Amino acid sequence: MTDYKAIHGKKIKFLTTDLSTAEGEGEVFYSDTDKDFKVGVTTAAWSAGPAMLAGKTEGGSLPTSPSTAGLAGGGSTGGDWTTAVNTTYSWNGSGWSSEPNMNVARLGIRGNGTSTSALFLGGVRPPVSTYSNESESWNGSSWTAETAHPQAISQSSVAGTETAAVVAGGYDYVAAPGTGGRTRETFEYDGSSWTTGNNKPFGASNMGSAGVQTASIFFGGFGQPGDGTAPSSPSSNPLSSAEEYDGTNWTTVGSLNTARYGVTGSGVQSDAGAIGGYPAITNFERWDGSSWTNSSTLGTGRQTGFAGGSPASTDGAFIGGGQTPPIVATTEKFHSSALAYTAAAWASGGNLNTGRHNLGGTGTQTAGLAFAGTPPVTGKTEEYDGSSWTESGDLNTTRDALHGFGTQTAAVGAGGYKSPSPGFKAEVEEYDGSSWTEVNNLPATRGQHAAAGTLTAGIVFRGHDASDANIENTQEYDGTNWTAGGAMNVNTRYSSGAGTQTTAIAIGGEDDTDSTEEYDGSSWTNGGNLNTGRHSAAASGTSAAALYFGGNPNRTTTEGYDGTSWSTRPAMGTGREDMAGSTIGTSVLALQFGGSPGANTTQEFTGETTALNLKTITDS
Amino acid sequence: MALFIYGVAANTGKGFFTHEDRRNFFLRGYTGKDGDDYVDVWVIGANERGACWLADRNGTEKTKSEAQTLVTAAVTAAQNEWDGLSDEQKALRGPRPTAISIP
Repeated sequence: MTDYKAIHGKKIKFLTTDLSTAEGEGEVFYSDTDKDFKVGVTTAAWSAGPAMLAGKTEGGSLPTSPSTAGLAGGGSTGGDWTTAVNTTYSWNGSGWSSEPNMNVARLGIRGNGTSTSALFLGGVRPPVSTYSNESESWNGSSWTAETAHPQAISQSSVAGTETAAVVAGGYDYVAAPGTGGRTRETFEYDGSSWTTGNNKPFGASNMGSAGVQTASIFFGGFGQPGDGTAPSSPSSNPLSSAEEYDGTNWTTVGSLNTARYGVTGSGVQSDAGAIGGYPAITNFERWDGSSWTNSSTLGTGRQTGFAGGSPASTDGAFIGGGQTPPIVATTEKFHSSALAYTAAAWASGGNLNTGRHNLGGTGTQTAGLAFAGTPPVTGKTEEYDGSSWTESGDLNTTRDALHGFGTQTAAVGAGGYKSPSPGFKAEVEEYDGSSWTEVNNLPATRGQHAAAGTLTAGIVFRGHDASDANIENTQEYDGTNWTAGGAMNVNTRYSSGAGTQTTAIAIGGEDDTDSTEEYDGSSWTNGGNLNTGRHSAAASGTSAAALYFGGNPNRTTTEGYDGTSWSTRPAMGTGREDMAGSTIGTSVLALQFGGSPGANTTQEFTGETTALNLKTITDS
Repeated sequence: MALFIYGVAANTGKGFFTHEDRRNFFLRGYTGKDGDDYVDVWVIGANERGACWLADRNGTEKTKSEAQTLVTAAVTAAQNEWDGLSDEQKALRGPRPTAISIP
């Protein structure tokens, strides 16, 4: 038998378990599982990401910021030049979050920088004739007016940061109103004042840009008629040219393979991306410092979106929003990696045998527990194994609007309601995997509360009683007795809870509060606010990593929490309220079941996953 | 080309829509009411995979207006039910159900 090591000087590993991480890139091994030789290979692909909070286009983003720290400021939600917004969304690589609004609503605004030092400028204040020279900086938490740009200009392109920026091109309405005044002019900003730079080779607006003030690249765009490579009198004038700026001079470099304007740039001068463009093309090209190469195409073609990240970096690049038309909120993530990324999503699970809402629930995605609910008021209990529900022993006291905690084989159901008035309950029952047993009551009646924890270390919190007053206290359960826990900062009802007794999280509530509170076993502290305040939803995870989904009125909205802030996640398939969830599940493997009106459906959330791209080596 | 397809198909549970389906096309489910029966109303992205999804599930295609009527009927039923609750039950249940406009 030929000795591979003797020929190539290297051994091939014999592995009983296939490689699975990015470290497996380029490594040849023998898979004992499949009895094949395999190798980890790099692929470049876009995958779906969570949608923006609202679709918009023609705003500013941070092309050069990492793919885990993006920003989308200003723009238009209307798809024309008559409306502008000042909304700001940040992107953390997993989802979008709402941030403080810009001071001035504009579309055609552009920006660049980092998540803590960014410069946005120019644009149009509707109506269309009101061009803006206003500049604003972003420091990671707020917008501040900066020295006005020397020109009232729209659809310019920016590289650098708030204290070292270069702005090139754009539509200079004042200099050439109505004549197609795409400018060659270049300006630099140092954080307080503007200075002129050398003109770029061609007049253009709506280019893509990437890089910093002393090492940037500008590409594509709408050419000034008759200027440089642009035709003399086009109605649509896409450019393929690209120019680099070194802080002083412009150098024309290799052209894009596909001429376009409305292209969204990302990356740095040595690793840039030209994403989409007019008319909503899916084309994506990568610049490696010397030439442009066509790469994998977008799932949704679009122009003038919001992007960031360097394509070849570990975190890759992303684009959100833009216009197809219509304006979209969809997001896509690009990775050139040995890992294949599979986007997070909800899928349908097995249906409950008894549809219901205002039910109790706990457990995990593969070991869920549903009990009680209405209509009609029931004590029915069902167990979920990851694919189907099986009926088990009924609660002794039928009711709805209760809540529970624990596992599928060791759970607690507490409080709730059953008419006639006063129907609020204090009864508590424990479940052992087959039947329910009455145990010590709550100190007082309570309904529409939330709960978290395990049978021997659980808590119930929030809710209200027969007097219609919200309940302030938290009750802790040790498996036998109830004792008072820490007081909450926000008293409300219809909240959701998840986690353990020492990592519990309380989310949302009455009047669509956006409140989040975290419990450490003794006291509640305020956490980050929801992007979309709501109530009667469900949650999974802990105070360090939670998922909050659905809510009144039958929302599909899903948000993820990282211990500090909430950001968007893929929407549920069917909007639900008054349902239950996997309170001791995780933020990446969650379960939702039941809901109004008497629904029997189940939905399962799986977070983004990665897997090593493995190719089987053949001898032919 | 229309952005969405509208249809009715009973959610049969596990596998009715998969993670892959959700990545391949837009899909939103709503509770509808057809006479005395509750039905599952779906708004589906108008691409080939979306169209095949509805057909594979023996769904019945509807116009947007027909789909909206079904959803509105379910909301109306929920509102009527809410109106019939006692004050205590209303407080327990939460706000009166509001109208839903499908995309």
